[in-house]
Amino acid sequence: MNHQLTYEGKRGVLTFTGDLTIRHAEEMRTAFIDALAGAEAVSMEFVDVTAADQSFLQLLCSAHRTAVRLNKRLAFTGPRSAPVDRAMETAGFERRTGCNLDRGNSCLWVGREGPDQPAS
Amino acid sequence: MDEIDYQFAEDDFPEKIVEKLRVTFREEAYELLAELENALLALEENPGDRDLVNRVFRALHTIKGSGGACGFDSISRFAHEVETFYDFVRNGQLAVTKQIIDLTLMARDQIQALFDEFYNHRPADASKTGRIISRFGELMPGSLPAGSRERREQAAAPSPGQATYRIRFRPGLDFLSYGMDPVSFLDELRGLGPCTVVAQTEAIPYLEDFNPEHWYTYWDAILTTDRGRDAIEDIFIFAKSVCELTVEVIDAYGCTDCDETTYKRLGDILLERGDLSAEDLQNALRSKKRLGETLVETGAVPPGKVESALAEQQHVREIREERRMNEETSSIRVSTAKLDDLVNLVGELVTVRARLSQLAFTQNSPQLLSVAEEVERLTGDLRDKTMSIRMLPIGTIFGKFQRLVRDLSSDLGKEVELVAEGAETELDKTVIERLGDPLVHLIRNCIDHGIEKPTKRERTGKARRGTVRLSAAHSGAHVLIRIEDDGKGLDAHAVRAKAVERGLIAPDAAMSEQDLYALVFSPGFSTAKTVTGVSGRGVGLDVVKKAIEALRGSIELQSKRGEGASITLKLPLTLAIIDGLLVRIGPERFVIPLALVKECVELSRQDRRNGHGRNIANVRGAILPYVDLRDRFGISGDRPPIEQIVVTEPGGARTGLVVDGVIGGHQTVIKNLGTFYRDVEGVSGATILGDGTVALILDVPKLVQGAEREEADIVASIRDPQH
Repeated sequence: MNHQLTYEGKRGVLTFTGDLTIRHAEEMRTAFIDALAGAEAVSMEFVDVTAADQSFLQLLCSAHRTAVRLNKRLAFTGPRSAPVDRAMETAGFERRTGCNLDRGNSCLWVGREGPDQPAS
Repeated sequence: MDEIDYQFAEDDFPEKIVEKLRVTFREEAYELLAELENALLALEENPGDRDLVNRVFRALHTIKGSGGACGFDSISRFAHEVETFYDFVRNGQLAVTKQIIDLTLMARDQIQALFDEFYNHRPADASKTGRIISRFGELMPGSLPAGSRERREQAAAPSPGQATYRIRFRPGLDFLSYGMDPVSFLDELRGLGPCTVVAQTEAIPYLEDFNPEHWYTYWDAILTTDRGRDAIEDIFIFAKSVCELTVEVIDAYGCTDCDETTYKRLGDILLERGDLSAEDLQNALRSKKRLGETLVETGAVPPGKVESALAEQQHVREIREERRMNEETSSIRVSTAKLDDLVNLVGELVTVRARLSQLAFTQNSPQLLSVAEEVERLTGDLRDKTMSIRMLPIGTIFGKFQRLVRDLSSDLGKEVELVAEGAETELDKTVIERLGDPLVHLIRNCIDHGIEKPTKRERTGKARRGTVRLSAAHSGAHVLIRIEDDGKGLDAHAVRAKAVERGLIAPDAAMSEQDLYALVFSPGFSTAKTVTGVSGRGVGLDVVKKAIEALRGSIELQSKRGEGASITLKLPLTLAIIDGLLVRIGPERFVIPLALVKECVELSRQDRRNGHGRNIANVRGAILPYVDLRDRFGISGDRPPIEQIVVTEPGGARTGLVVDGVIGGHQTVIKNLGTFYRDVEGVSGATILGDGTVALILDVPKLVQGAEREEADIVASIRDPQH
């Protein structure tokens, strides 16, 4: 397992480690579904990530727009992860504004300065 | 020059036009060859540097294209062969080795020889071309079937120059099942040139419908490259059936209908891409807000597409900006003849201005005075700027020395590194041109006689590799150029022995080390035991010294036995203008170069008597010999009771020049004396003063030498009446 879901009250924390690639995409998809079902807001943390690919990024995107539809928050917290950043850069995912499904300017790919802190 | 993709035969073209093209191309041709050489030498030191390989490639490419356009068919074909070879190096199929560098330098030399044949009428050996080409052929990687070589040649034909493309790459849903990674294609695009990539994510479904094995993202990429559309499409060759690909040119260098400063507006870009209908654009433009915002708010265009269009704008703007900056820093060629004419005219203007100032002063008219002042200021500016046009960085000749050092060290079995500092130091163009040969000889000397063989160096605890350090720096009104080596230095005893042998000094003469070293510049002097092909014939250093002195410079040698030697050249910044001290003797006026003047002291009749018949004076306790110019030049008239000694220091020894009086500092343009007067000793030129009179410019070193010689003769004749 390369992810772990914990709860702190109404907030879910999804911690990702190790290999975040297409190989584990299906597991992670289920994890996102569970997380969003059980919490109002979900933070994503990266710890010791060894690899990340564009399948993972696609999945993140899908998860985020699902969250927005459910009126829930999904955001990055904690230190940045080099493999994830690199994947974002190579695949040209950074943007200046969110896509048309974005509400509240919570797009994951906007701005490289720092992770979005979820409102408490 | 623009690429032309076929080769002219001589009679395809009116001869005159080809001739003109070739003449225009001449300077560029030699510059390209110099660039090629520099890049190759640098590549030898850094074989893995891709930028350097690209430089080599570009130089060859330009020689091929522009040379071909001028009708240099054989040169163009030759360059093409070498370029084809370097394509393998560029692709990483061949590693750079010394053998390859040697061969390429040989090819470069042959191209130069072929150019020389045309431009300088020096016959070249055309068969060498074929031999070099077949040697390249031997080095080609693996066995390349003839067919693929042809295909490569066709592909290497015209490249359209730099252009910017808009690429939309949309992998199909099942792209991943073919085992391909979509992002790797993006990386390959980036390999062709600066590339901006924006991911389009609108097709990504919600989690419940998300299938991790499907691919939902597509990309808009803006790529600027000079590799051509084919190179782009080649990248996607294997993916063609499982993706959508569109490639459009949106900006090309030299496209005449594009305004270089602004690129298309956002709306136009979106229209072109088909992301926006004309009607929607019109509606959106009616709003007061920025187009991008309006489009997103009304939902007319998905934000991802707006984003991508904005990225395109940004990318192209940046590329154009860079291009513009490169063009602005380019320069214009001017023939030296025109420049010399300009300098002459400015010189005349400076002279006339001096006369105007003088007249204004005597007329005592304030209006005239103020005009004269303004003219003086403007002329001063004009003169400075014109002089600076003639200034070139000395790095222009430093470059060719790298090659010299490399070849020489190879020939002589030594390991030598050339370090150059101060290449940006500027000097008058003429001075630089006349410095070339002397510097070459001095460097040859260092390597031949100074730097020891590697094994010998190791034995004495030095590094195997010797260093020759070439440095240039401004110092006041001069430029100091130093050539230093860390070789074995001069052997003072050997120098002394040789000097005695040649009768230059008496066997028991007391000479300081400095004086001994100065002897090395005497004609016919050489302490080399063997005469190598490079130096040792003893004709070199005195010729070097003459050449430097002809430039109104000086040369000095210093050495430390076992550690090395250094030669310092001191040269004036410009030959055309002199800062001088104007002096008078009787009715005559003379100019003494200010750079040599140390101070002025009085010489009274009593001081003269204190010399007891010798031309010496006592200045602050030290003896100062002087040259009596009135006597020397035979100027009639009475001496003033108090004369002036202008103390000069040519070559390190203080000598005085006695004049009636000192008028003041004076800066003028030097006029050469005519051929009749060139050999008059002691005078190096003339200048016209503000009132129209001519003042002769004194050649102080020669004057002093002449006076010393006469003194020596007198002394000798006293010793030996028969002399």
